[in-house]
Amino acid sequence: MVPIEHYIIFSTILLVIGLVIILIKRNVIMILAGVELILNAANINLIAFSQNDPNLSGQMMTLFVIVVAVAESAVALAIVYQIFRHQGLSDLDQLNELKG
Amino acid sequence: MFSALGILFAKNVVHAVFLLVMVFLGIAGVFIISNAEFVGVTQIMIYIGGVLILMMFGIMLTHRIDGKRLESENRRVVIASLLGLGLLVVLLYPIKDGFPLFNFTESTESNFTVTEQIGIHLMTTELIALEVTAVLLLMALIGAAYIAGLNLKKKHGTD
Repeated sequence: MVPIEHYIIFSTILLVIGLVIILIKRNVIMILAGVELILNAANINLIAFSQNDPNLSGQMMTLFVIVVAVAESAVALAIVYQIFRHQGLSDLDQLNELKG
Repeated sequence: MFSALGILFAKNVVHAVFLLVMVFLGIAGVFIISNAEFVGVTQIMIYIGGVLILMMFGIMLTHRIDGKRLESENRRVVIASLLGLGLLVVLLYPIKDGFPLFNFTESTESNFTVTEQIGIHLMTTELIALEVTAVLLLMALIGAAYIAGLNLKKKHGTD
């Protein structure tokens, strides 16, 4: 059985990579990918701490987190698509007007 | 993990999304080896089957098709990297002597497998959360379809 520190280190590294992607990238879709990475880091921690729990509440929480992440990414991609059709760009630094 | 670093360094957006597939497969493997087979399979089905297809569509729809490579530029690399390294050190510093809570006794084996147990919990203790999640998912999908179709409806109305 894998010691729990390894799970924590792995999920911390994933979280930091996701955060750096969000900070660095200028493309909106890459920023969404960073958000997904951060959610997955949280899921890894939930799974790791619930593997000896007979109630499985961590796994239930993980399932709900996955579903909410899917809903969020669907809405976000729809908004990105609409912004692109409106203004013709998917670059956050050039996106500086609200009333297209 | 290395593919996550690859996402960080990938210039091409399409390459980055395929590396994201590798990351999600790895995470599903981690779930499966840590006694959570159902969540692992759900991860594969939803993320790789759903979210990444959605992202590929997003990429295809939000870039002009003129043959030039889809590249995402970076900004403020040095500050963000320093911040990330600092956060990594802060988060990993407390567990350098091992994690103190890790004294679990072996869990008692129940009569059901994990998947059966998840089903039983979903229908009994987590029923309200399940219903709320279903309504949330419905709202999100209808909202996404509505937002994505706004211009089409307007154009259709003026014609």
